[in-house]
Amino acid sequence: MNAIKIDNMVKKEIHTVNNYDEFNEYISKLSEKKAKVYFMFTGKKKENGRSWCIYCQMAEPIVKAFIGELQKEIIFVYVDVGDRDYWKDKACPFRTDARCKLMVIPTIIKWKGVQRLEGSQCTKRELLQMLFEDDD
Amino acid sequence: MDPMFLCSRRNECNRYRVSGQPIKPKIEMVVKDTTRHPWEDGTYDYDLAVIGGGSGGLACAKEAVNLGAKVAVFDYVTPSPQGTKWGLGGTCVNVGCIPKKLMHQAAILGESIHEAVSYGWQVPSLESIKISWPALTEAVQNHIKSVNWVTRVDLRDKKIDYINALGEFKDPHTLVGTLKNGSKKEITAKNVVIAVGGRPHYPEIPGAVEYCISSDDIFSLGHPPGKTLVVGAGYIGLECAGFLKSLGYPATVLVRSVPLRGFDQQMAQMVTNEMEQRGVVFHHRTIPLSVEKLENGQLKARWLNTETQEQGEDVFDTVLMATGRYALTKALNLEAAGVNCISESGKIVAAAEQTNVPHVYAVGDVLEGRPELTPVAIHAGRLLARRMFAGATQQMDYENVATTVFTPLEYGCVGLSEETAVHRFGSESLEVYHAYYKPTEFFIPQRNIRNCYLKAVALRDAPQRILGLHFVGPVAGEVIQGFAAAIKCGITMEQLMNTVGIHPTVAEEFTRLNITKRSGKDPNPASCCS
Repeated sequence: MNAIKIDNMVKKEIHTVNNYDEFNEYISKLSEKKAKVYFMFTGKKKENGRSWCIYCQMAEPIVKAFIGELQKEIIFVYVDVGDRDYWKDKACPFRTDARCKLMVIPTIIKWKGVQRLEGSQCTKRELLQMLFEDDD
Repeated sequence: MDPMFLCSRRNECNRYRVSGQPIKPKIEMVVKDTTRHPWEDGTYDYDLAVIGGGSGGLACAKEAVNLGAKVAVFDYVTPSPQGTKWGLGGTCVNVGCIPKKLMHQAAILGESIHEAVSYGWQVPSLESIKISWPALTEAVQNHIKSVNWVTRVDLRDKKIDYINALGEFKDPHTLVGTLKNGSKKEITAKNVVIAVGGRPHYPEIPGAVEYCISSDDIFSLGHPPGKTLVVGAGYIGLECAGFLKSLGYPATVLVRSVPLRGFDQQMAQMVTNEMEQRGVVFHHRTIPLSVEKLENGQLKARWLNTETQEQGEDVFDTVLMATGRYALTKALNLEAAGVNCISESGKIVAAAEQTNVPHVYAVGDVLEGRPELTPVAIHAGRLLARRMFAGATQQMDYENVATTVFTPLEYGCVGLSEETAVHRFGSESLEVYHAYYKPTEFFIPQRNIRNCYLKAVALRDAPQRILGLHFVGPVAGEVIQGFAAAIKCGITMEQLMNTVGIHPTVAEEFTRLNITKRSGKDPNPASCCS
């Protein structure tokens, strides 16, 4: 786990987890936290710093900018689902884990909520807006 | 006075021009309207405002937006008397088809566990298999909430403005929405579609509103329903009683007149026979008198047999009212729009989905005399949007709409009931083909086959055009859907008999029909000695 960034204005936390084990470990420590937790699942970055998944490449800067501007007390966690072969495996633990029900990347989910954005939805600011609205 | 003259922009109403000719307004009839409306300069906030975000309203809104219209949707759920509320998507998604089908499926799965033993599955301690009501409702509600979310995302993505407020008319082109916090939002729209649907009706007896639940509540009920009285034997009542019994909760049904009124009564009999054989108790020709709460929290219900005048009573954990639904037109302030085509039951009479005020339309359950079915509302809503915004002329065809009642043995049908066919054509002009059948998969677990029955109601003269198809048995909806397309195409008995079946299926039984009721021959399968 790295890249923990705490925004001083509102208590916004941004984390990155790099694989399934880290993801599991992160979740196991979550229970007592009060803030709303969101996970964004994207493909591993190549040497050039960009994800192998073109849609993740497209979504990431938009999401990053949006989260940066967002004035809300949330925890936002970037989750690396691994390289292409690892993700494409139908038995990939990210796919089989019933807690995240991942079918595509990128996906952003609200932890323990029904809210989720998939694929090109992640690139739309008005949909990101909805994702962080409070009403359930 | 013709209320269409209330509309001061009537010359621009796109539906005002009948048969291409603008109707000359009779100026002397125009009500002098001294207030100036913001839309009177011909600009509106929206091309279309839809009141009601259910199946019909959303389908209409989405199609309209695809055709380039600017659209807003009002949706608001007034909590049920028991306090149940839900999100965007209307009855079907939240308190209708979807949760009903899921609970029906839960019931079927439970039965399948028992049947599995006959097929060799080793199930430890079969007697201890029972449903966890909280787990079931949580799963069902989570599914519903995710559908609510996806619907909201879809609207936002399509740039449809979703207004979570109770919408009503202020004037013919202005709508006011009351939000949850009481604040108001006002918009103007060139066209308005009323798609507010309906809600369960409660009989006027002591204790009904205070203690009873309805289909609005059952799918999210916070505790197991226990022994349940279902008041009403329409499809909602029978479906609820059916899945409750199969889930392990004793169920009693009060039938006022006949079960599944409006449906083919012979088939309805098959459905209720099966339910009775599974242990659902029916009290026929009864009306509820009162429901009172006992000290232990249980509910004592009393009823009256309207034929014998005898009274009956019993104690239940839950009483579910399924005595019909009423349209939510009262809260719309329709007078302000000049809409006056309201039936006695409060529904909107609108041939071609258009009210007496040309720019105000209605789709879905709110319409008088139309099937209250989600796909009907969706189709009508879509076609309406195309007529409003794409110059289309196709009208909704409400004939031959297939439907299925998801009772323990399902009942699927399309077209006319035998009664309606006899009424319209006379029994001498009809030939009714029928058969009992034995689903292959019923043999091994020795499931009851006595109510597996189907019939085709056809014209008697060759080539015997089929008027109605009826099927009681497993997966009736899946069976009937394809045949509904055939009926739309005007299928005849000759063509049906010349269709080769898929073996072994239950749907193939339709291709095997050959015994007419008129012949008096035994409709039981040859190998059956029961």
